[in-house]
Amino acid sequence: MKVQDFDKIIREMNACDNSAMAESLIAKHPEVFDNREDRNRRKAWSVKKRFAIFAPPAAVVCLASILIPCILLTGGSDSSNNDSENYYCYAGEYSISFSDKTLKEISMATGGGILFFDWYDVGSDCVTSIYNLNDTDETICVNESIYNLETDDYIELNVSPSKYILDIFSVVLDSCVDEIMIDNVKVKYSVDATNSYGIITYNSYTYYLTLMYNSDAQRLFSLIEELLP
Amino acid sequence: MKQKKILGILLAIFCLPLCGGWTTPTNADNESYYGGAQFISFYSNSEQISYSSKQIKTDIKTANGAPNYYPDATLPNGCGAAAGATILGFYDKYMDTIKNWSSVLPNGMYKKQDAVYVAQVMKALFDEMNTNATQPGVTENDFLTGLQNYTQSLGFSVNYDYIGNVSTLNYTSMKSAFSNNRAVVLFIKPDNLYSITNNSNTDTISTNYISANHILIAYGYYEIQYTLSSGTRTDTYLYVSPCVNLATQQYYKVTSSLVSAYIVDIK
Repeated sequence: MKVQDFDKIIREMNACDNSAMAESLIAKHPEVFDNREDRNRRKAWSVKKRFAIFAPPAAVVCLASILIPCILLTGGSDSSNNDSENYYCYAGEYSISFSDKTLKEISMATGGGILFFDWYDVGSDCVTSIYNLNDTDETICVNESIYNLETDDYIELNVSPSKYILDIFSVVLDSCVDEIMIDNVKVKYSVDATNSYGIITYNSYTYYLTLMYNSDAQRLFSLIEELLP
Repeated sequence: MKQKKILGILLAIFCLPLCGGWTTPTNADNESYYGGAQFISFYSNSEQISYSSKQIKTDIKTANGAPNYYPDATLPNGCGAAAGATILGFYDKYMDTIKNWSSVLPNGMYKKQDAVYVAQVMKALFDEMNTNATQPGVTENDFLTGLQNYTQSLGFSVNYDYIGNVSTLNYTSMKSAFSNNRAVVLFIKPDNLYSITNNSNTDTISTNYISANHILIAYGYYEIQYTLSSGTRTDTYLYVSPCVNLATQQYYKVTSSLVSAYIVDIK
């Protein structure tokens, strides 16, 4: 049996495809994934709501018969565009390789839009990895771990375009249920016996931060404050 | 009557080998392979436990836990190599089992794997364990022999202390090993791994399913009792390095999937 076949069976076992899995996670954590498709969906809902409030029910039915196809044609065009669809990435669909470039260098090469911990002068053991889709070679995540010799913080930061949800983050997404606002950015977080975990979305990227060997959420918040511009 | 008995015995002696009763099993034919072609780990579900109180009944683990290394795309079916490298990374804290590199940070905590030294060790173990030579993955014997040969080539000796399978597991020996900073290698059939995160009076237990035979490194024993509205609930886990790329601390429940367990000691 080919790995792809097996992967297909697994998806069938879970009774959902990539988009469905992504949608299910987004439905649970809508605030984490603030992207174009979500905004379109909210817009479509507000149009429907206005009709419900201001038009008589019969008129709504008539108008809906005209408007729904229009909404599907305009709003629906986004969902048929692969660029805006959320995509759940299973382990068999991507490969991990080490990078000789740091997250800072990657950020600079892409216009400086990616946040990073600028600890390179005071840090050690910086390791950067890149996750690429096997089919398209598209980069779906950059992972960097670095140890700060001055503060004794050891972190792992994963950065993904928000439309991609990697399987390895599902557990963190499901477990980060507490929320706090830092610099007007919503942070979802949790801790386990060993580490602290935080998730933020900023400028169409989702950041998954692990503060390793430290279950102190306050320290995690300080680091997120440092990460944000 | 006596002649019939003798004839029966002679017939049995003659026929048994033909039936396979006396054949010696060979690793290549009869042993299970770990990290095989259908290997994949994936998130399956999560469970919320809301409790009024919880008490950690037992929490025994090695000093600073253990590292977790996992194979990259150049080492297909390489969970044996990753588990072996994790063992060497674990003992590198105490002796130089990964040359020219330290597996620990200045504060004594384990680092994540690096791009050069751990990768070299993993590649060497991958070859030493004859990974994918006959079938995808490695056998238990391939793993144990390969790790032993490689470690001996570094000038160290390895001792494996078999502590049982699911029905015979010697928990006393295992806990004692953890207390004495010894790692335990677990050979398992497909099964779940768990992560436990805490939020106010709720624990979330998330499940990752490992779809093929796999090798884990255990380094602790954890027993927790929840007081629920419906009574109490006690969960028992082993702290494990999953030897796959998972984002959270992982636990394993000793279930029917446990094929065998060995305390690994390197000197």
